[in-house]
Amino acid sequence: MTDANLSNLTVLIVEDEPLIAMSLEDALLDQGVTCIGPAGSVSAALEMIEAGGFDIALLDVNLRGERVDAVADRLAASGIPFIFTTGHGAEGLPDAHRARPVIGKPFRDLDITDALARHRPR
Amino acid sequence: MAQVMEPSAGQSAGPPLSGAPLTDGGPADPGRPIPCRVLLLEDSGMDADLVREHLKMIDDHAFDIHRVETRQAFIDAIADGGPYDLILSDFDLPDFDGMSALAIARDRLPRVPFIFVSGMLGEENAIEALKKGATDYVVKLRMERLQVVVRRALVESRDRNELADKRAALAESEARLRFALEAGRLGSWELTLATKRLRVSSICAANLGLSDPSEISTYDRLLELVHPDDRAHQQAMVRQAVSSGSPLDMEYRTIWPDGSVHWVQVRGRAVYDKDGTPTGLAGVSLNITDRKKAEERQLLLLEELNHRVKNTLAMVQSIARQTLRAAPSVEAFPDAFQSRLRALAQAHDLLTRRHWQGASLSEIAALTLEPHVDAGRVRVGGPPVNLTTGVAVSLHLAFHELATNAAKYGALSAENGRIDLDWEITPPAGPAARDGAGHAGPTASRAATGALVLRWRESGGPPVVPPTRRGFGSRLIERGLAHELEGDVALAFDPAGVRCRLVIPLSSRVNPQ
Repeated sequence: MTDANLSNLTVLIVEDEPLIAMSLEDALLDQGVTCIGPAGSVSAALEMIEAGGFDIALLDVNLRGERVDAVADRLAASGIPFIFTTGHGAEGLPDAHRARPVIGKPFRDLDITDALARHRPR
Repeated sequence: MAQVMEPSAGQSAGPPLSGAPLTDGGPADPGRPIPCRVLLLEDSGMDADLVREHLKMIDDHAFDIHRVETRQAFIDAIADGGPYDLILSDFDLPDFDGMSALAIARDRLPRVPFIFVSGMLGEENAIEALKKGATDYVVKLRMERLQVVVRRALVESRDRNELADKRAALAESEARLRFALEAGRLGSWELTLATKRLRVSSICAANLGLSDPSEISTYDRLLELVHPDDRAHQQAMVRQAVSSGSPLDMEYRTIWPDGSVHWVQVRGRAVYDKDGTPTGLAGVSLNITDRKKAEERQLLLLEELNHRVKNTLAMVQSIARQTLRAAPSVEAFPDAFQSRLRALAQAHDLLTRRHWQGASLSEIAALTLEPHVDAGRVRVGGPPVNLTTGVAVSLHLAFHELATNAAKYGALSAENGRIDLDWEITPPAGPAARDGAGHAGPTASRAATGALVLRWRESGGPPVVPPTRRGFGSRLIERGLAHELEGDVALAFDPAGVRCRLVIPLSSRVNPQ
């Protein structure tokens, strides 16, 4: 397990598959992380970004067949860090955001917590 | 038929020792005389013998002479066809004349040399005969000419026939090639390097979206039709094929006059002059747009498959984690986990049968409940509703949890218990209801679009004791399903029986048929 203390952290989960979202929540709740979401569509994600109140986002690259480029753009514009989660390779990432961290599905809890610790705002 | 000379059947050794004044155009094997069938139209036996004697002197040929004396016999022989290699004819016959014989022979056997052998043949007749197609003529006073004339006629005829055969074979081969090109939708093209002129077949033009081959008469014009991104590659490949002599094999996109993009495969090879300098390129072209599309589709499918497999693995991971969390004991884990995996697999089977185009709500309900429906324990009913794949999987897993719970603790655990699963479509709410909804969300969209209202009601089972903590099933239904469907979910552990009510706004993912 990571040594990083993730309490005080609030994470937006953008994921269209409820089972995977639930699993992410479990992993994060165990670490004392507060979860917002999950947002299962691009429009729901944009609404939640608008509402704010989170430090970092976990972002599935494809929501019900829709690419998440708009969500990534909005997060980047708002200066909110985010981590892609994907079953595709790196090719599936939005072109403008290829430098962002990526976690491949299926993932270990450790991959998630490590990535959050590394990329959370300082 | 008179046999003047026995063919030596190839046994006689060596070239003839005498009487071989002619050396050109002879057979490849000088020891084997060339068989030659002659039709001789001659009413006089003496003259016929004279002809035989002279022919005998041409000793690299073995003549087989068929003599006819009358018009009818001549016509019959011609009709029979022989096959004859040579026709010798008298000019004046009692019931026939040479010019008529010539006309018949030219008509029926145009390729067989025809030589007049006549006692007298005026200059006018001779000219007329040659005009009408006679090969030559010999007057009987100078019969020694017969050998030269016959020999030359035979050699020329053989050469002519050989050429004609070659031409026919070439034409046939060209026709076959054309047929194969057309059948294979292969276009052909030819580029002259010095002039950069291009000649293309109509299929080749069609592959570039043009109906008239003359519209592509230069290489520069062709380049204009090549997709700008592929032009440099096209030119480099052509240059390389010319300089290296290696075969040209390339694929590029073309833009048709209507703006559509198509793929062309081109194969060819440089053509050289006798000094080895490349003078041009020639080859074929093929429209491979369909193949390219299929390749792209296959790539997409592979990518989609990869995505789906990863996603499914992540779902299995989630099921494992949550089953383990909720399991009362380690011993209880395998059965609960395996049963959920099987439910997931069932959903995939159904969706695969539907080509991953979604499924109907009744199909999904039947997947879990059919055995119980058949046993009269479960009643399922509602109007047709289409579900997309994601919704179908989530609902199926929810039904699976509800049914498993019912079998363990609820209505299906008692002899007389039963389950009613029904659903209906409620119309969109009126304008008054919409007014208050200033924010987008489930309530607002339901008000605008109508909703699917689905009820699960158990009865006749043992009294329900609400669980002390929410298990995987409850969580999947209350959190997961509500999230997935953007709807309202109410799961109640009513003492009389478990009840579950879903209100799902209609959308492209959940829509009545």
